[in-house]
Amino acid sequence: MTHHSSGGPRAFRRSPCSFGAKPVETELRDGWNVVLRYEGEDGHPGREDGDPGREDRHPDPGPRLVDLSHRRRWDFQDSGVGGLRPMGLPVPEGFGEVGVHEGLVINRMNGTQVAIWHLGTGPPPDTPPDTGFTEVTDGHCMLAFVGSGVQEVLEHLTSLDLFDPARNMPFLTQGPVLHVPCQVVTLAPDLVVMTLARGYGETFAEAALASGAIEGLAPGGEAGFNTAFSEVKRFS
Amino acid sequence: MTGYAGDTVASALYGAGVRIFGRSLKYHRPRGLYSMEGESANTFMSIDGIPNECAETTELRAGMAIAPQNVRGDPRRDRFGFLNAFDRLMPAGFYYHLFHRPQFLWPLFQSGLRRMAGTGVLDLQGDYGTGVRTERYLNADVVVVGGGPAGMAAALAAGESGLRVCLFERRRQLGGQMSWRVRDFEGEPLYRRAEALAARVRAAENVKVLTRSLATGVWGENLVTGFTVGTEDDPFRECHWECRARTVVVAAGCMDRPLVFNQNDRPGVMQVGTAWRLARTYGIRPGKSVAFSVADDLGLEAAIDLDDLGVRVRFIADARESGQQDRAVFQALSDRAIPFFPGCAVSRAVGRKRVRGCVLRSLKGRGSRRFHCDLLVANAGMQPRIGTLATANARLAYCAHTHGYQPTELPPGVFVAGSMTGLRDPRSIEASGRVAGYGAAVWCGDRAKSGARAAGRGPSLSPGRASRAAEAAVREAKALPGPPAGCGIIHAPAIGRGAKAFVDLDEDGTYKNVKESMARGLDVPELAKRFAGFGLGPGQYRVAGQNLAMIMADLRGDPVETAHATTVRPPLGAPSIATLAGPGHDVHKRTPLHAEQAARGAVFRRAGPWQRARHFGDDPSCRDEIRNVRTNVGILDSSPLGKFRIHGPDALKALQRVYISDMRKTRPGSCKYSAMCNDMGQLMDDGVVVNEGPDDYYFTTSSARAGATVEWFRFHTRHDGWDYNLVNLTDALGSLNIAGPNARRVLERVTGANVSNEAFPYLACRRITVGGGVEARCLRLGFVGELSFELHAPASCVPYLWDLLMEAGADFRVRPFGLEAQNCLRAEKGHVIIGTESEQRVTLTDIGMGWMWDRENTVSKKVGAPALRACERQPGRLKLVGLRVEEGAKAPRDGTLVVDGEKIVGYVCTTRSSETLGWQYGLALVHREHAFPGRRIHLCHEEKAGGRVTSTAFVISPHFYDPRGQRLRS
Repeated sequence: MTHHSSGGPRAFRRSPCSFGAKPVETELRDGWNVVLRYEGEDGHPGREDGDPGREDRHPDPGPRLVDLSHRRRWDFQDSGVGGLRPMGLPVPEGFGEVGVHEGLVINRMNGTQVAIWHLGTGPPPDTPPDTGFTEVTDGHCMLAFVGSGVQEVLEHLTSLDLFDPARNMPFLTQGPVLHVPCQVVTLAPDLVVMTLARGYGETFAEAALASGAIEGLAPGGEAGFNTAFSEVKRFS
Repeated sequence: MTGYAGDTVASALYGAGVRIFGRSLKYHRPRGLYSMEGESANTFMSIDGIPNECAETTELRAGMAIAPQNVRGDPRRDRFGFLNAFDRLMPAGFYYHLFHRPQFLWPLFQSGLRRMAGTGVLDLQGDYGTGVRTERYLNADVVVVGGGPAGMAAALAAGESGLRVCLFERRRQLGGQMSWRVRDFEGEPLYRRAEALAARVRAAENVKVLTRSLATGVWGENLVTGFTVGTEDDPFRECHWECRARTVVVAAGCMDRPLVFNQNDRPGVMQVGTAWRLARTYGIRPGKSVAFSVADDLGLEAAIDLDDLGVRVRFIADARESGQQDRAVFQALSDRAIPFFPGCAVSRAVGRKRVRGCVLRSLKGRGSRRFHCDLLVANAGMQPRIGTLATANARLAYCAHTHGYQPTELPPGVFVAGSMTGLRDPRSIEASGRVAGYGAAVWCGDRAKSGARAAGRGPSLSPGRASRAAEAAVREAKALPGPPAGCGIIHAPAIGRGAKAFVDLDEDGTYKNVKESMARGLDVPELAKRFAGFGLGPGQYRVAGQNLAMIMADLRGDPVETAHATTVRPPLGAPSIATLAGPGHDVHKRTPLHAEQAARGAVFRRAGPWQRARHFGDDPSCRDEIRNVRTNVGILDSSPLGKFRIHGPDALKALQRVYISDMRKTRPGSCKYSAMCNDMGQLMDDGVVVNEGPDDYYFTTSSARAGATVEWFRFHTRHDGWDYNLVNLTDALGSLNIAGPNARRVLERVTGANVSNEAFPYLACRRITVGGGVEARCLRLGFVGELSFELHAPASCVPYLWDLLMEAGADFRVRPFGLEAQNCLRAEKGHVIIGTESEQRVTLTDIGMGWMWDRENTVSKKVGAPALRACERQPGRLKLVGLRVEEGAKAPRDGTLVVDGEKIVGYVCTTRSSETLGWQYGLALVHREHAFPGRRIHLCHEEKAGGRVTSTAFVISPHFYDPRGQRLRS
């Protein structure tokens, strides 16, 4: 195992879920022990049905489940949220719409509330002093489903229509996945990120991996997610 | 036995020369291959130890273990075969009126009957491959049920419109009946046409094709369920589907309607489709010398095709006197010089264990003729597969033209197409599919266009163009041949008593049984079904359904148009119970300290969505845990406690509304304990509220109510238009309660904050830094009646805090305690738990918590205040009291009744024997007249034998331990 940081303070924050896989590359970040890559991730048999039109095409590693619980998240509520720019971000007009701006994802949840997720690779912003903000990083387990076959995996987990072609990606869906209330953002056909109450994290991840195993779902490190998300940013 | 790839168990057995597959349910008559789609239970077998597997639809795999069921010995020589001779002893409904007297003998008969009529034995210790069953959810604009030509045309039309289409096909290949028909169609054989259509469907990007997948029903709002049977290459054995669709196109096709004649269940009697598929799909010669008794052009076509394949066709009887529509078929018959008998039908099969011949009669009853044959292919025409339509709540009625059930009214968004509408011309069938597919597209409206655009697909039909395409398809369909006249034959001629003319093969239900039901006044199919079991077997309505209704109408003397079928209920096929049950993942909540507590021997129990530590170690009474908190220091994981932030200009108004106290009195740096009531004044929740800044509050709720709190606030302020925001922090913040006389000394070791009694008094709240970096709210509370501090910290940091505290408290032998210890500790202190010491008959004041109520404040319209006012002095109310059980008396249990003579006057909510107090205490709800200190009350104990004993207790204050609260304020 390689550590990008060594000799520094030990990890004092724990993710709500663990995948039972062996990490081969980790990074200590803000007290979190972040797994960048798991053993066998590169050798994963995966799928070979990537988009043939893409020049930067690489062998698709197949669907992965990535733990992003350490990524910072905020709840912002205000009765006039539609006219505000929390963290400088434009608030999407319609409920269920999502904006992606420089590593930050803003989800319009309802008439008074947005959720802001930091999914980029740069440092996260500080929590602004406005009273409307509440940092809720520790309130959720955040999971990403990455790679081809994600749709098939999610069809085992939820009846939500997460790939409705009548909606423009990225978009937000709120509803049950594995019977757990979730906030799900479909960023791309091969990239879906969701949050759920932190307490469910461990058993949810276990169930997701077990149900998705039939489609080849395996634990993935953050590095795979970063690659996929960078492509979303490019196309959004 | 060997078979070929694609063989089913039944086709492989038939190919290997097996003709008797099993024995019938009641009479143990020999049964052979009759159907090919699981319409009857003739070929139900035990496959790999699983009983009731249908050999007709189960694909052959290497190494399968196949055994007959409901057979004593060999299917050819069943020891119970003699029962066939005693059919007179088993009339319709015999089970309900024979063997019941004398009554004490009935269990004996019942068990014997069940053993004899068994349908397989399940080995409860068997390994049935759990874990290979899965479930999937789909969303589609159009679900097409049936992958025949109509279904495929519908799928292509809908797919062309840009819609998401999902097609369910029960067989392993698309094409329906077309896939085994070789007659010429516009210059190519029909099966080629089917292959071409199938290739187009499979190539359509937005059409999901599910073969080997039976749609088991259409439920509310077009939820279509089904299941796929996995092949050896699939990673699953069965997959259950739930597909939410906007529209459903039912193109389920049609099947043979059985011809009811004497001995029609003999091995060697089979449906037209069975013989045809054996020959064309599986390459097996169904018989050497075959007689046909049919009533549909398809039957004639099948006979010609088998003749072309070298099978000797002895004759073809057609129950239709005239009306054969297909002139090409008729000409082919003449060309081949096959004897053809219009207006005739087989009246009897000859042969004991298999068909050796048959008797042919004119339907007008003049003369008969006997033929030798080893296979008798018989039907009474075709009948539509109405199951899917019926589960979709379509109205169905008997059609006197097609002589089948047809929909008279379809539910919104449901379309029907194909041969099930009575169409027989291949062009008409395809055209009807296109009409349905475009109709579905029009129904879906704009979704078609936006779906295609969002998916970046090529040109699709706009709603306007889809509508025009639908109109064109309708015009095209109208120009093509419509449904030909069907055959209304009810049963074969000379049926006589009909004692061995089977209407229902699964339940051994005969024509005679129908008459017996009628004789008892059970003269409609719904009643006969329940009395004589028609349609209750695994084949359900499929074999018996239409014939039963027609026969009963005939016996009643009613026109056949009045024949109403019995209700068809889903599932239309039988996935395994394990598949329906799903994977059964136990997705629940765990606290951030689950692993730490498990490592210390925690015994977990479910509490709502959470797994919580009930106690540590083997002692459920938790004496050591309790003693440690009372005398030393313990740590409780209280993370499931509800934790919320409320902020905004009207936050205080909302708090004033839902809390019963005056919430204006909250002060920064201190906790205000209060409660929420419902409109009836009953205690719903309690917790503390902390003022954290202008219009910004932090509050806690009970664990059980955490999930309902936001809705509770919103509901009770829904008409006010107040501007406030709620954030649920329950999962975001873990919570540790460090309690006991040494709690402060342990806490001091992990924080630089001043936690002395002077700087941090009881009910104070401070932000402190723990372990050199973790920010936490620290609340000084006392639920367990001891000095205690509650640390609320980011959930991800709580394991770190646990380690710190455990390390810091090692000198003191700090140890965790669980919910049971907490329950005992708080009960000794007289602190209530909602739902344990409160219930729907008691209000806040009844349980001694009325002191919280801000009586003067009516402006806030506090929830529950009017009810509290109304029943404050109401007589006869239950009151919460403390009990001290008389020394030496029988110890009560939670729930023990409090009695006054024969009258129940209350019950014990919680009671324990307390080591701290040295006596058995209890908290009880008793009628007001018994609720005063010193009162002697009687506790009623149920004995095992049903007897009762009473013991005595005295009413005392419920605050048994440290009533002045000195310890928690120390």
